[in-house]
Amino acid sequence: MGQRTAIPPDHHDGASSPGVVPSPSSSVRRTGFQYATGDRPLEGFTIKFGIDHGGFGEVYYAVSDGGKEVALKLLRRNLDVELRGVSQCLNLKHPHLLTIFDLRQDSRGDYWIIMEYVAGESLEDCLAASPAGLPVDEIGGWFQGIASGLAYLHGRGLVHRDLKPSNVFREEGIVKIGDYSLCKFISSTRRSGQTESVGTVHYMAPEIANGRYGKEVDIYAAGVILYEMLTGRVPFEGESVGEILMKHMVAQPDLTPVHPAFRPIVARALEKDPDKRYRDIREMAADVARSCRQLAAATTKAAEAVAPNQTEALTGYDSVHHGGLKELWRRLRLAWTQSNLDTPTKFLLVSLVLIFLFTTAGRWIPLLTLFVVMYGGWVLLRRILRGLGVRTCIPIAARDPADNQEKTQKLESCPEASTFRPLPNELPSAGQQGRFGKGLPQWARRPLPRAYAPLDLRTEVEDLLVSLLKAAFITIVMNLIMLLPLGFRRGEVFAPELVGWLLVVSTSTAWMVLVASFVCRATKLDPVLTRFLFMVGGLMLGAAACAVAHYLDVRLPLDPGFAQLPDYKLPSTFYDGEGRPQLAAFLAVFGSLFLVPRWWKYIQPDRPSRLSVGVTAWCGLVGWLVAVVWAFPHPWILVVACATAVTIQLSSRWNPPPSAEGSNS
Amino acid sequence: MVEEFGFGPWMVWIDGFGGVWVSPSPRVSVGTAWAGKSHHLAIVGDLLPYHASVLREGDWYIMAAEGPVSVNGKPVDGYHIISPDDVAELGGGVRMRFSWPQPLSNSVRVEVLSGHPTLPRAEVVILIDSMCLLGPTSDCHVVVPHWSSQVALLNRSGQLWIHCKDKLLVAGREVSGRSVIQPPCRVRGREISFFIEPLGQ
Repeated sequence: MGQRTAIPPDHHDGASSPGVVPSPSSSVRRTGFQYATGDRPLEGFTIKFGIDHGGFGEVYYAVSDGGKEVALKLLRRNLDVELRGVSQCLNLKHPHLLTIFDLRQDSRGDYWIIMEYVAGESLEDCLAASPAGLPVDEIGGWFQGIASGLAYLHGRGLVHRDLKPSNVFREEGIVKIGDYSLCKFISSTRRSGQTESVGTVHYMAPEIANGRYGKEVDIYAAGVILYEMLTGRVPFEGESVGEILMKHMVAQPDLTPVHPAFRPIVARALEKDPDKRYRDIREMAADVARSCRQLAAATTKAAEAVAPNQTEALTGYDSVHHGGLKELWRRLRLAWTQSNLDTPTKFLLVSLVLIFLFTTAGRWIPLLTLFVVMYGGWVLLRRILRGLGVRTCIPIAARDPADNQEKTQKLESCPEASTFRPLPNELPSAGQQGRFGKGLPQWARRPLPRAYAPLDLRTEVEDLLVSLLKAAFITIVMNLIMLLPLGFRRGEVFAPELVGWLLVVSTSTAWMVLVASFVCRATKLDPVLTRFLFMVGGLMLGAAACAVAHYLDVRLPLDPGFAQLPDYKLPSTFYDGEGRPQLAAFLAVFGSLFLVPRWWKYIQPDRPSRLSVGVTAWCGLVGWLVAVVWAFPHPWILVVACATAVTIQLSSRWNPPPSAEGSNS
Repeated sequence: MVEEFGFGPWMVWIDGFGGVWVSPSPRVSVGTAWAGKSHHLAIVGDLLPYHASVLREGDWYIMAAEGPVSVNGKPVDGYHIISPDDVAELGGGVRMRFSWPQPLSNSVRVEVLSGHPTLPRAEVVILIDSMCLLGPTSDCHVVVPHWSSQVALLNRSGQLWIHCKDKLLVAGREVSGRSVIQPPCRVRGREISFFIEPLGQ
């Protein structure tokens, strides 16, 4: 291990020298805080520890000579914007705004903001500790504090412009908005003219793209925060800043996970047109308070009415299958509406699916009928048994005793649990100790946007090599597993050349995905370019697959059990007289196979599960559709796609949620 | 009164985390911020100057009450042997939880649940017996989630040692494995960055 290079040279080692301002080192700036315990970059203040650092600069916990605790913010970027904002906010006084004491310049010319130190948790910490959303009373408390602070700013002609959960704190029950140094004066005649975008992309109103900064941007951000408090996640997510911004501008937020009582409020706050949003944050706060009261009253009423057996039903007793199907449908809808596919592509996909359904109707209609009859029988039987007091399934709470109490409380607090299903927990749970309340530091606990995710190249390369090695073995196993039923169905043993071709192609495909994903991740490639790179990789794989097929003299037999498009002929350059695919067919098939699915997404370390059946099915479906469109013999591309999907997921690194590892509280 | 113990205590200021008050003394007093002895955990709360003491006797920790103290809701009259996850309430609502996160160590972690600040402000208090483990996992006395490796502070025959499997810069000197350290000093590693500051001197 190259530890020597990993440890930055330190200019503060040994006993600190109070009063001495050390000369900064660029390597220190990159890897940590510039100042250490005991340093006094500002006369009268002694730094104790670094709180946070990032693109904006650094924030330290410091103590004045008289013992006053303060936060010192060293400005690094957006200096003009920050200084302008701070100068406007120096004399603001409000219980829900973090107090700015002063703006000072040190002997080296650096600017420092001296701020109130808040020892409590941030809203971001709170959200990370409740990944499925906050309880309704918490939402009310946080939102009223935010609205009160914002109303004060707006009343003085100021716009916060960077409102987000990590800028909202709570100490001893008092909510405080911080980091309003991006504040800007606005008036009805001075709403634009800003040349540099500021703010955080997940909370950024669409009109900011046009340089419009009215108080509506704060109302939009408040709407995003409200959405996040209700559901545990932001309304628009994506792999890059551009993708998220585009969604803010054109996509409609999915309000199904939002409790119905709050949907109109969130919808109005997140209007694309700023003129259609709330005109005043106080109006929005009043609506939120009203909804919170209604929900709390309904909860109390329902809690009194819910009998023990009904509580069991709420905890997943009754709606496991139904809820699972609804969740699956909701996720499909969300993926469809938030996908990057343009209208022609969507139309093409829908057409292909319809063609598939029509051409195979004779197969799936009997199966569907059988399923409906069996499920209906099961529902009927369950109702009869439950009427007799017999349990037909294990309640969710009983399956997971550790979460029993928490889940029961959450569901009990939400009488409409069957219709209001918070999104699944994808963020690590907290329970840690530290300055940041009961949670981890904000940059450690919440997954950063992937475009900004820290990358340790050495670790990534090691991971890649291990993944490639694993992939070679898993591919063999997967192909054999898939060939066995196919061979059994056809009543024959596949030729060794065919098996060899499949193994070589599947392994190469998995390796290509792993390597290309690594390259795209390391170079932070734009999603469009990533897709293009994968298509180029697919073309190269197609050429290689064709070469291997000709070298091994493989005949890819058509399985008649798989549907082909009737009377659908491709040019003779695609297939020879015996129907064997030629180079053009291989190129077309593999190029398409890697153009459509976003393979790189399926091996991201922070994916929800190590192996997703949905992803595998999707890749298989694409493989099948590609083969249908290009009239490629079935089912070999489907086999390659499925084997690759499983292989890359199993062989690549996966970071399970830390909650599985336990916490120390 | 608290007898002087000529070693420690220290504040460990961890970047990105906060302060940790560490005492190797077998007798630590708890009380108001004005008491002024070196192994005195000063809390800004409604307490007597010396409200209670925590004594280490072999493998046991004992709470000696000198003011109103209750443990798990039961008043303590004189002494109480502290058990894992005991929550003690001192005076006017200062609640402290005692835990032993590391099974191989008899060092105890004390968290002030009521939010009353200590002086200096510490997120967690460690009464170190032989070892205090700092690291990302829940079995560490101090959980620093953004670290990837653990650091052990060892209390050996009146000296403070540091142990880490990775190389560290301690007071400007590269250290690997186990080494004696002399506070005040700064310790740095790949993500590790903390400063050990002696208190009460």
